Amino acid sequence: MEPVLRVDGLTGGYSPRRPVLHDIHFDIKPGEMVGLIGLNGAGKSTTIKHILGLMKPLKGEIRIRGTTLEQDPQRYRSSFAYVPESPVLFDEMTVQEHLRLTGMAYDVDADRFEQRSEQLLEEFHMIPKRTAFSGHLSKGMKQKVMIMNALLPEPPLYIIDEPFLGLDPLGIRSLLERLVEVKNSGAAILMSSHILATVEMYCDRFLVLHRGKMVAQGNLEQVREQSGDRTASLEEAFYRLVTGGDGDGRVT
Amino acid sequence: MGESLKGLWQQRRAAFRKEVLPYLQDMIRSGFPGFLLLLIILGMIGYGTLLRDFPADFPYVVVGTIVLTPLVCYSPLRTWLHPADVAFLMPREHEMGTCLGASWRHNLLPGFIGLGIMFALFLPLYERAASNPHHWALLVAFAAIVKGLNAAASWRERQIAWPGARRTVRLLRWILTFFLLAVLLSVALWKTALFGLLLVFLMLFVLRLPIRHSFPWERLIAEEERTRRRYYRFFGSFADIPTLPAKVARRPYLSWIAGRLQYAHNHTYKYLFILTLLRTELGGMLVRLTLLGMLVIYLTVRSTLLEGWGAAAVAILFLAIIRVQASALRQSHRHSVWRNIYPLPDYQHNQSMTQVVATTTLVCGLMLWLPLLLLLAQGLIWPPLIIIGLSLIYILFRLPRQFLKKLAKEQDD
Repeated sequence: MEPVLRVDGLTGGYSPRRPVLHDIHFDIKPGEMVGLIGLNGAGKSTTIKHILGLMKPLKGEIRIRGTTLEQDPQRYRSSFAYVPESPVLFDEMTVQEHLRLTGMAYDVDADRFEQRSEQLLEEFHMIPKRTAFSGHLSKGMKQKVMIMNALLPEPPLYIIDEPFLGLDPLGIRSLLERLVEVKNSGAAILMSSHILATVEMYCDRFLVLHRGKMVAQGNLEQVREQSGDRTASLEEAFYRLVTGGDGDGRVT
Repeated sequence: MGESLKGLWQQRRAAFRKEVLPYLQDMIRSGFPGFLLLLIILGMIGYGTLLRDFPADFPYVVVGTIVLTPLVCYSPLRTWLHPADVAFLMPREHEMGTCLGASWRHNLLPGFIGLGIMFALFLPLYERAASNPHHWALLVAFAAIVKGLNAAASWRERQIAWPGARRTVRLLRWILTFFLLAVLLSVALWKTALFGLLLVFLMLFVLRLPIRHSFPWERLIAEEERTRRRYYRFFGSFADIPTLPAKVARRPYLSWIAGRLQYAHNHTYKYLFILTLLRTELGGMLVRLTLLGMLVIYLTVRSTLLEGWGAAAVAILFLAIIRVQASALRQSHRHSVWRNIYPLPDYQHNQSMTQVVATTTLVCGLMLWLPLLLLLAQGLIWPPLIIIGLSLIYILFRLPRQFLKKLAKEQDD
């Protein structure tokens, strides 16, 4: 099956002399949920920024649905929805107006937009807040609005950075249920998170980044194997991978 | 301890002054002071004409009350407080009196000077129109006392915990002051003093009712942020400055316009910019400017200043300010991540913004030209026709090109 996202030999960062990411390779196929995990500063957000096109790779190539950003920016950008780590909303717009803006931006059919936005407002328990300004919402609610906006256009790829920050238990549950649904419908999901128990339970594969390098990737079995402990949980395997089992060493 | 807080107050004031100094220089270089001077000269010509041909039925009570009420009631307070002060200065709340004293001195002095200037302009009108005018010194002293009481009441308002109650009390204060000034200008002074005393007791009673904070930290911080935002919004019209988060108002009487925009892929940025323009302070400022412009043009039309060319010049001046203000839209969402994420061609961003700015200038222009057209009824045809024609050519043809070019240049920089 043709991957939705393919990252090939990505080396990148904020300065050519000091790259943050070193030769990263991975791909995500339709119907897969992939967890991107790593310590603070491991390069998760930098990887995501490169995929979004906010940063230019020093080396390597990123393709979404077979195209690079330079080849066809419209096709590239309309193929994914993004949920940033901290909600980025327009203070002067209400929840409903954000959905309308997203619908317009992703060219969602008008009838489909009406139906989807109502459905999302209901699922995320946001109907009473539909006319509230985003600036007046709590952090968790802002995150819900971000997620609703990502789900609205039903793209083939979802890029989600720390989605559970600030969400209440109901919000986390709604999000996970929706992610499983979109995955089952054939979409691909790249999710970065520190909540390893949830990542282990919901993701099909894992990408373990450490100091800008991919130290392990694959399903739970493969990650366990690469960590050197075939019975470990994801959390234990991760700990071994990033500390070398003895504190701070790198495991390859 | 109190001394160090006072030091911090002075430090923050100095820091703010240092921060805005470069923008002040940009503002001076932009020619704005010249424009302001022109407005003052025009105003003085109108004022001189009014004094020379003073109408016997001049409504001095209404005019005096309208111009004096805002100056007497408006009681801003710059405290230089930051959001982080809730964590760091709150434990020293009992010492904050020193800072407050300095803040009041900082704001009241210019307030009294402004009131004095307004009196200097109003008194010649009052003395000509009133049949039995009070001595000017008594009038000024009375207004100064009322201003002081207003400042004290405004502090009590700030302490009120519920926003609804605070707004109601403020509205009541403005209404009562309005009536007190009307009474001051129309009846004997001792009657006014009695009435004033009654109102003071009423205000004291009302202010006792709601729950109050001893020191309204959140209120003062919000007020400080709003003031800074205003400064930056003003300087933003002349220079490229980092913007503070915009204050948002619902404005349903305007924002329905965005809802009427057709749901379409190529309208995405237009939808965003229309809502930004209408809901942020920019929209409020444009509404106020247009209404003020309409009033000033109407008054200049009525006085047939310079055979109608005075009104035409005022229309151009207001249109120029509106154009500058509307162009400040380019400061909005400049660094928004969504511009790089949305699947939209990049040119649509600038094109949509230009369309919104040009349309806004045109709509405000149309409103300004309504009172200008009254010149036609006075047989003065050329001033309105020439000015409207030239402005239309500018808005429809020159402005879009000029604005697009500016956006492209800023993007390159």
